[in-house]
Amino acid sequence: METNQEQVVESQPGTEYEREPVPQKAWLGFKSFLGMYAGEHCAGTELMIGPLFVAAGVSAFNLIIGLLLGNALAVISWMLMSAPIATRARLTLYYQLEKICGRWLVILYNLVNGVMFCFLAGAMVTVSATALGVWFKFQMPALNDMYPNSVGWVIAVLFCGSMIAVVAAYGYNTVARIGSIAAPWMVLIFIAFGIVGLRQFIDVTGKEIQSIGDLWNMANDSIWKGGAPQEGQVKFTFWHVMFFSWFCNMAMHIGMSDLSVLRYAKKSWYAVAAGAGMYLGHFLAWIAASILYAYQLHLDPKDTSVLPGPLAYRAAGLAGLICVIVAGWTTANPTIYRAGLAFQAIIPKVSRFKVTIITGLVATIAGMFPAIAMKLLDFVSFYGMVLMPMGAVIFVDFWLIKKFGLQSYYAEASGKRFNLAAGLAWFITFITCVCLVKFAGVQIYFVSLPGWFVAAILYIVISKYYQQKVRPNA
Amino acid sequence: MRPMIKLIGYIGIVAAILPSILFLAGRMELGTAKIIMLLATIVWFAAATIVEWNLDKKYFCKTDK
Repeated sequence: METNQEQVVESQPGTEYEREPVPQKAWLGFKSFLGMYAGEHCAGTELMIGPLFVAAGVSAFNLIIGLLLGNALAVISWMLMSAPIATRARLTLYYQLEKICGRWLVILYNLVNGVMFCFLAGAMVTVSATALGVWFKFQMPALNDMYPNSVGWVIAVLFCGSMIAVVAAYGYNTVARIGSIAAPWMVLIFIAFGIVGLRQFIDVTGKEIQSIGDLWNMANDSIWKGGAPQEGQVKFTFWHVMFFSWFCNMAMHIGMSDLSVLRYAKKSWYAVAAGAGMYLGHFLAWIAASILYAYQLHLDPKDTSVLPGPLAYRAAGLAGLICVIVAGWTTANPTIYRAGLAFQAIIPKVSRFKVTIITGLVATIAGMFPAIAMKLLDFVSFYGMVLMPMGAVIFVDFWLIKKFGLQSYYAEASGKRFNLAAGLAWFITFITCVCLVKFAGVQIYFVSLPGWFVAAILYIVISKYYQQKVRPNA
Repeated sequence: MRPMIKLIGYIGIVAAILPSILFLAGRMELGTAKIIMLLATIVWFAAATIVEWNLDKKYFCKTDK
């Protein structure tokens, strides 16, 4: 029951060892990372993502095998991409970026990161607000709704979001500790959702389950049937599931955000702890939530709305509703806090309290628009795509750039505040990815993989010209 | 005192998932399972809060002396 939340809080950017490598005395053991990753990836948004897979017409094989492989690739990405750099440099993402890119580019990165965090927190507020709808019976958004569709919904989101913002501003540590004690309970309630949903399917279909084979048949015939997606949704194949589960945390592993966390790890292989989060949150929780939604569709195929509150209430009653609220609240809290830190880095003279309140209000307004939560698969992929190029820049700068006869940590060495090579690699990669999605018909789930190579090559090529033209002062 | 509170907490967390397993096995009604899950939730949060904030040491140990 003891938690390691203090250690996790220490690892938030902006708290300790901001501008120096983490000293050996502050390194943490494997258990710290196991608890942190398991808690962090069992979020309120898992209750949206699982149902959205079903709405995308995924089949049982594609879902199970796609998730198994995609999550394994995500863990490997943490172990091979971010952890080796984190445990060698032991610097925060922000300080490492500043050394490479210069102060101004880091400010821009912070701004983009902060805005993304706001939208993500908004989706979490949306999830919490759906629980209030069960009690107060107001009209809630449908699967394809873009805008708030009732006064009750707006008030519910405003209430949830304001509470989360005020609490994040006043007592981040308290909520973080509540989050840490809620984490094991939440994981079990998520699993309970799936178990209850399975029994409900057995009852409603009248099937006899005597073996794993029977269960697999029911999964194929009644739960994840494949076929056409719901109206307005993209059809999900094995590749969609695999790439989505690999890249949904792309900003953290390939994008290198978790440098700030893993710099505390004694050993690089501790990043394998991310597997706890992946296989509890991004495997079991997604599967459980998808069963609940499939059951709802089985009862009434016209009821396509993805609303975690009613889904959880049907499966687990009040405990389920509490789980939805707590899951949304405890995960929105650090997200708003992190967004606040990102913004505060841009305007350091404004107090953290004010920044967090304003950030929370922006997230609340974002949460009123159900489009973000209902299109969460697209948003999460976009989030990874936006920040991924800077991960490629860090990777190349750390491992490869000297082999091309170029200067690593170029901004620090030259005293530049904006490393044009890194900036152009980021912007051109982003524009290339957007063009591929908009005009070449490449779906957003797949564009980040080629995008990483584009960013890496661009950074080397542009640096070759840029560093020759502008001689370092140092 | 603390081992007892921890034990109660662990019972609470087991009781949070056990009803769903019994429901799957056809040994419990869903309504009963939901009530037990709610009670288990209350027990877990109460026990974990006491341990996390050392409330037992702050309040109960003094009277024990």
